[in-house]
Order: sequence, then C-alpha cells, then structure tokens
Amino acid sequence: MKAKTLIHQNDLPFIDLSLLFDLCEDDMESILEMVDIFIDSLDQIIQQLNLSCETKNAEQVYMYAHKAKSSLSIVQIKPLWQIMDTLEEEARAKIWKQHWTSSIQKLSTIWQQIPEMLQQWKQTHIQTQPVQK
Amino acid sequence: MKILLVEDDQLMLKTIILRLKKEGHDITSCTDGKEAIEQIENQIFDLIITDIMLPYVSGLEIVGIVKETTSTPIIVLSSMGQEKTIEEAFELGADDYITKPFNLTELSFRIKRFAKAYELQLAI
Repeated sequence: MKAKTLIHQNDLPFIDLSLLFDLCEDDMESILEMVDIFIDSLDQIIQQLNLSCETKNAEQVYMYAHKAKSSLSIVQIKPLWQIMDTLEEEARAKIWKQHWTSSIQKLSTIWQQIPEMLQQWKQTHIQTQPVQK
Repeated sequence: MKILLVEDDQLMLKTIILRLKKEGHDITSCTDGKEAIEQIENQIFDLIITDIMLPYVSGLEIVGIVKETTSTPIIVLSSMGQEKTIEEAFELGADDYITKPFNLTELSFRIKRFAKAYELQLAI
C-alpha cells in the first residue's frame, strides 16, 4: 500500500500533506512524528484562541493566528487557513472585533474532527512506504 | 556550520532542524527570543536563523543585539505581508531573509552562500 498525501472529507480533498512529505523527503518516520507535533501544536493554539476570545485580547488573537498559519502552511487545511488568515489580518490593528467569537467557534468546530482524521491516516501508514501523490 | 535557529512554531522548527541536520549542520534551537539571547551570550554561532514574531524578545530585537557586538550573519524568517518589518530588519543589520512558507531547498542554498563565506574566512 502506498502512502497518500491527501486526506478526503465527503469525497473532497481536506487535508493536504504533500508539502510535509516534500519537507521530510518522504521519510515516513519523520512525517508521522511531524503529524503528532502538528496535532499538539494546533490543539494548543485553538485553546489559546478560545481563551483570547474570552478575554477579548486582540493582540493574542493576532499572535496565535499568525503562529497557526506557520503550521498550516506545512499541513495544509484550507478552511482553517482561511479563517486564521482573516483573523490575523483583522487583528493586526489590535482592536477586538465581536465577530471573531463566531470565527473562533467555527475554527474549534472544524478542528474537533481533524486529530481523529490524522490519527486514522497515521494508523494506515504506520510503516515506511513509498509515496503516491 | 554552527547554527542557532529561533522559531516559535514547533512544526516549522522541527522540519527545519530535520533538514539542516541531514546537511551536517550543528543546530541549537530556541522557541522564544529570551532563550535565544541567552544562547547568543553563551556561545558563538556561525549563523543565526530567526523568525520575526517571537515571544518575549522579537526577531528584530535579536538582530539589533547581535549586530551591535558581532558580525554573525543573520537570516530572518518572515511571513507574507511583513515587508516593512523586513526593511527594518535590514536596517538593523540582517543579512538575508526568506518568506514563509518557503522551500527548504531555498533555505539550504542561502545557508550554503554563508557557509562559503565562512570557509573563505577560515582559510585567510
């Protein structure tokens, strides 16, 4: 079985790992380790964004959205990237905007399903295999 | 080369470390600016690669502090839309920059340029 770099949801590409494969030069052991780092890192960021939302801290929203984009440029999940990009851009002025509450809720909802999807993907690719792009 | 890598995003940090170690570099890494300053005070590096937005001490402050006392080359990691900050980094003495998301081969090429200069310096 060959490793797939795209994870689908409802038959549509949802998580794109192709850049991660390139960066890790198709080394499956490294890729699996990076996937775990991504899950931990994004999970913390989403938690911090929720806290920033409770305290209406625009500066923190800017900081965490910016940080998330860094990880999301490697493990590409378009719906998350788009929300983070908008949050970062709007929070650059460091003035709280009420509609961020729903944006951050939407982020959390999308995120909820992702760790499990990635874990399932990991289980099917737990051994080093050649890559199919 | 002995390289200090400063990046607060764990995934970005690990992927860069993985690549640079494969290329034979000796990497010291930090996830915040305060820790980076401590490393700079205690060790001599041949090259510093730093992100701009960092907790406690920014990448720009790191550039300013390093260039006040040394000529250690610095590559700044920036993001799209940070053009003004890049300009500021160059004014403070940064030697090069690379915009995220970047191709690691591109970063490797840039490091090789500094490695050549470093080898020339050693040969003199």
